Amino acid sequence: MEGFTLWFTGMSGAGKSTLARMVEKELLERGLKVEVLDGDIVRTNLSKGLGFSKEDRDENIRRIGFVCQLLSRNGVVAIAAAISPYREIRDENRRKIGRFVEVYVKCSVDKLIERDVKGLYKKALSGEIKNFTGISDPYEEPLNPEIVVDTEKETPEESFKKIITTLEKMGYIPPLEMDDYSEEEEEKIKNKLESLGYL
Amino acid sequence: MISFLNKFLKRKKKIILIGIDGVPFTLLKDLIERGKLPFLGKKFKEGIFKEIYSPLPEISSVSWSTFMTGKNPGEHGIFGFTDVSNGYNLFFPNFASLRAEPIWEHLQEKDKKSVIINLPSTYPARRINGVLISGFVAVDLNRAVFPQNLLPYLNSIGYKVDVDNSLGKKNIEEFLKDLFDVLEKRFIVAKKLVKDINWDFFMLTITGSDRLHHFLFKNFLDENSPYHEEFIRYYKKIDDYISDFLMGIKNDYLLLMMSDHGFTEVRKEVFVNNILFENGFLKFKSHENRSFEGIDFSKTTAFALDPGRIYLNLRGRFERGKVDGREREKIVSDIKELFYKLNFEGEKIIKNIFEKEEIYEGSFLSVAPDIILQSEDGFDLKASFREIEIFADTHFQGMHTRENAFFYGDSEFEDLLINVKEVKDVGNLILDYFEV
Repeated sequence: MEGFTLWFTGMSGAGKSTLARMVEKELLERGLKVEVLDGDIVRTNLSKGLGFSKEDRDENIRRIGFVCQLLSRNGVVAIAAAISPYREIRDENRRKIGRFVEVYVKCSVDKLIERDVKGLYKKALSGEIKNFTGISDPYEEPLNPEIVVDTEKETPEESFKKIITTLEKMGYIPPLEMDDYSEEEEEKIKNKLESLGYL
Repeated sequence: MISFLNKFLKRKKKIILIGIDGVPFTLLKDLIERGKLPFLGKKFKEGIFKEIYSPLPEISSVSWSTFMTGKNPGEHGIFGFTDVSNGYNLFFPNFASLRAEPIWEHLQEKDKKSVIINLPSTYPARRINGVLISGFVAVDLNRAVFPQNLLPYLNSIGYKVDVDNSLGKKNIEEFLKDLFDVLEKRFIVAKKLVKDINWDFFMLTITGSDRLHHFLFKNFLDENSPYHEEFIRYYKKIDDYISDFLMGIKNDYLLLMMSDHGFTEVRKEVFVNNILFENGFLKFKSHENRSFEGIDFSKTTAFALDPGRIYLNLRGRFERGKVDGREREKIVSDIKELFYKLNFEGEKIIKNIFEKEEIYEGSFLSVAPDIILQSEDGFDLKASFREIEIFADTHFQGMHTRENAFFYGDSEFEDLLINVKEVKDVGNLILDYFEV
């Protein structure tokens, strides 16, 4: 099994960590090697000391990307869950890693303010927290992500299912219930399709 | 709205749907006007008989999957008879690859029983509350039937999953014999199951019509052609069999009929990958091996799968992806320009070009083809590598069209039927009707 990187991007509170943990659990149950790099946790060790300026944010994402790259090439599914607001640096990671699946965890700012599970939006709106993505800092949406989940409209289970089935469909993880054709059957199918001009 | 209507409608409890693969609305209309289909002619006057359109690409696996789930390909994940993995392996999606629930699985949650006979893209058969006999591309009857205790009966009457299509090129007389034989067997089975099973939803699909059109469509158009009468006779048989089949059933069902796409005469085959190759989008490892396996993906920007599905070799999507997300827009625009300009002796080849976001939505958008070509009537798009030229003549006489499929529904439910505009709507109509 080849590794790959599943990169969750989206604003604070959109549901990146929740979905990353759900996917982690599923993939572990399927016998895959998985490691989650959660932005909040990474900032307490790997990126300790980095702030929230553009340079520091880019450095943080670059470091997470570097670890993902190492893990991916050693057969691990590396799951990154970080706001990663800047497109350029996400794309840089994509280029370096190669087997890279970007999941855009979409949710409107209004909804995030309403949810505000960590109380951060309140602080950001009052000015207590500076450089807050979506409020006082930009978030650049991915242009061509492999997967988009809309947590405003979908339940976590729906978003989770969407991610898993897309990974199956793209061949990154083996499907659970795939009725594979035998070689003989495949040959017969080829002949049938050829006789109708489809191949 | 639906339940409001139901209070006022004396609902029949059941639905019979007869699918006739690849039948154009205009062909049926013409045969009816010429008095060739007495039963359907009379029936269609009683209800709504109209043209609908199919999803793209306009082929049976995509269209029937769209019908059976009531969802678009971006949601059910079937984009063709072939698909490609991120490691460039071609594979044949089957019923297990369908990522949305078919109608009958919703119905069984309400304890409704379904009988599904010969519906394409339902192979290998799986558990159903009722009976499922898979259609094209089923290869082994043993894996095409649920429940399995029906197998001895099907074998005893010589039931076949499909006609021998290789005969279409080799021996038309034998091909026709096979077509008529397979059609007869379908109705024998349908007549038995409609009585044996206490069904709520009963669906029979006739697929021989599509085969007849592929090999003999010009014989329909030209009255002096050698197989014109046989072509018409096949339709008369369908008319007779449907009449006979419905005669024996208590009239407590809503009757629906449909086709999955239209058909027209083919003039030229158009080889999409050859166009991409000649314009530098596709590269081969060597000129001796012009095949899908022979593509040099480290140098290829775009390639096609049947019929006109173009995939960009995107980084992230494919293992040796070459195209960066930011280059995508430019390449898409170049390819669109190339195909819009394409012509055969001054005649336009491509009617429409869609980017995937324009026609699909859902979880599988990311694995959908990036560009979908729709050709003008007469120009049949192919992704095959069997020709090296762009245009070629062919022994096939007919090709699919997106437009000109047909739909029929009993008029007493006019309010519900009026909204059916495309193949997908028929699936949703059935779900609405049963309130699931």
